[in-house]
Amino acid sequence: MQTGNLHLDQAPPEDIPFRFFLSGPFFGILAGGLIFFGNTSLFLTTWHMETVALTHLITLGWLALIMMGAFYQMVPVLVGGHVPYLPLARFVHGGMVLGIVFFTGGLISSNERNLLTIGGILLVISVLLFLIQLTIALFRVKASRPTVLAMRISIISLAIVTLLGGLLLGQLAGWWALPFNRESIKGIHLTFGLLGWVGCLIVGVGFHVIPMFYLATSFPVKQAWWVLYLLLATLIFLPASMAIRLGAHWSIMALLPAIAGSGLFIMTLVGLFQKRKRKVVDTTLRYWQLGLSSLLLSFLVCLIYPWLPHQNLLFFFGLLFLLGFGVSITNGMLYKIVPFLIWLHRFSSLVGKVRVPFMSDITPAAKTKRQLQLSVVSYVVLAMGIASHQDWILQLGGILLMVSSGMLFLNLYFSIQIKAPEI
Amino acid sequence: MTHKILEERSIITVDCHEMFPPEPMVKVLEAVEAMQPHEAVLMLHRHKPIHLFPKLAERQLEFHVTEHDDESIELLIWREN
Repeated sequence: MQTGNLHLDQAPPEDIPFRFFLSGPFFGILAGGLIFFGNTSLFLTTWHMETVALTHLITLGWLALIMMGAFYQMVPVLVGGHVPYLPLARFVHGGMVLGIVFFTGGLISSNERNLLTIGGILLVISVLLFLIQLTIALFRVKASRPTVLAMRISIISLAIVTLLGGLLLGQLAGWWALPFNRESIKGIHLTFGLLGWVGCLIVGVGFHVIPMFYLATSFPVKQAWWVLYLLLATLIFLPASMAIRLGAHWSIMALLPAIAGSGLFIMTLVGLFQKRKRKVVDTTLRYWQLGLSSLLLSFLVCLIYPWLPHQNLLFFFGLLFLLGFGVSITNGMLYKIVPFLIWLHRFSSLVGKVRVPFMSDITPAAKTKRQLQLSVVSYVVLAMGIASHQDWILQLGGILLMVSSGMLFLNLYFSIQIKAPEI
Repeated sequence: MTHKILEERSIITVDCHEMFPPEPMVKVLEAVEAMQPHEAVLMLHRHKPIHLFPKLAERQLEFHVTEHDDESIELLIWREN
């Protein structure tokens, strides 16, 4: 038997990624609920505490939890990294869920100090445990591949985001004064969070999973390196321009490499899709298309902002980047990864012995398509609500986001209930 | 790929280049379930089929992987007689 450097069974137990994946939509429901009850007051200024809570229900509750589950699943499988103390992942999950509930609860209840303190401590401990596990796993891997670099940038960015988020939270809870300008810290926290932690992981995983699931040809390695170098350039220059407070026009200059990198990523994919022989089109691919289009639009909003500094543009950016890009792509990937893991863990050993279901039998296409349509409608209604500042439109958008997240939760939950036949 | 099994046995080739997960695993496992003692299965794929290896080990099959620069692989699978 010759297996190269592979551990024979590298995939973690299925409950580890599943507990993270199922928690994401739960926080989507809470975010929709907060929009329903908070309505227009959430979209007046980005410093409003309920607006910060809403942002973190999506960034921590939806994106970070799903991304952490993806890291635990994909680092062993995609890059061959061995995640140490794997059962700790269950404590990381529990700490994150409680930490997000306490932290956002503290923000919503007018900076209730005890809730913020408990939430902050739980979040910092959970993220630190996760960072230790994944840093050991990712930096022990000898492979020099774009996906590995992307994951490393993502993990380092999470460490910076946590440090800066902790500083801001400490100031809010009254523990200390900030050592630097608050706007600068917020800007750097956002840059590393959105572009480093979220953007680099999605792009890095995309290099591998888009060809694997849709293309049958690899993403060209040279272009992949260029995409990452361009994103990295912005990750260095944009925080630097914010730290020394050069102003909005310099920040736009610093953002240009990331826009070019994202453009190169998307153009390369478009070229590969045009050449593919087997045209597989499903809901998950539509989520990728929706996500990458939203990413480009969010950059367009950034470019316009210095010339038209209206608060609404900041909310449109948040809507496009967080929901349109981050949530859509993670939502779509859940519909690929969850059925695949169920199939792998429960049915693959039965192949050739009994008839096993296809992935499409595990999560039916009609259900995923309905949820995609509802997601798109919820984003459009929320955008209309932000533009018009009408309570009822935002409330409708909140309800639609709750229903869409609930549908995702149920679709995943019913898939996970499917059991293998006994033979 | 050069391997003594290739000379000794009839080879059933399963080309998975145009397949998407989990089809490569299904096709290869179906082929090895139907494999006769004088046969071996040769899987051609565009990347290493990480999840397949434990399934082959579970079935007590022997295998040998050859990796190419473009990440494509040839995986030879057989059962010791």
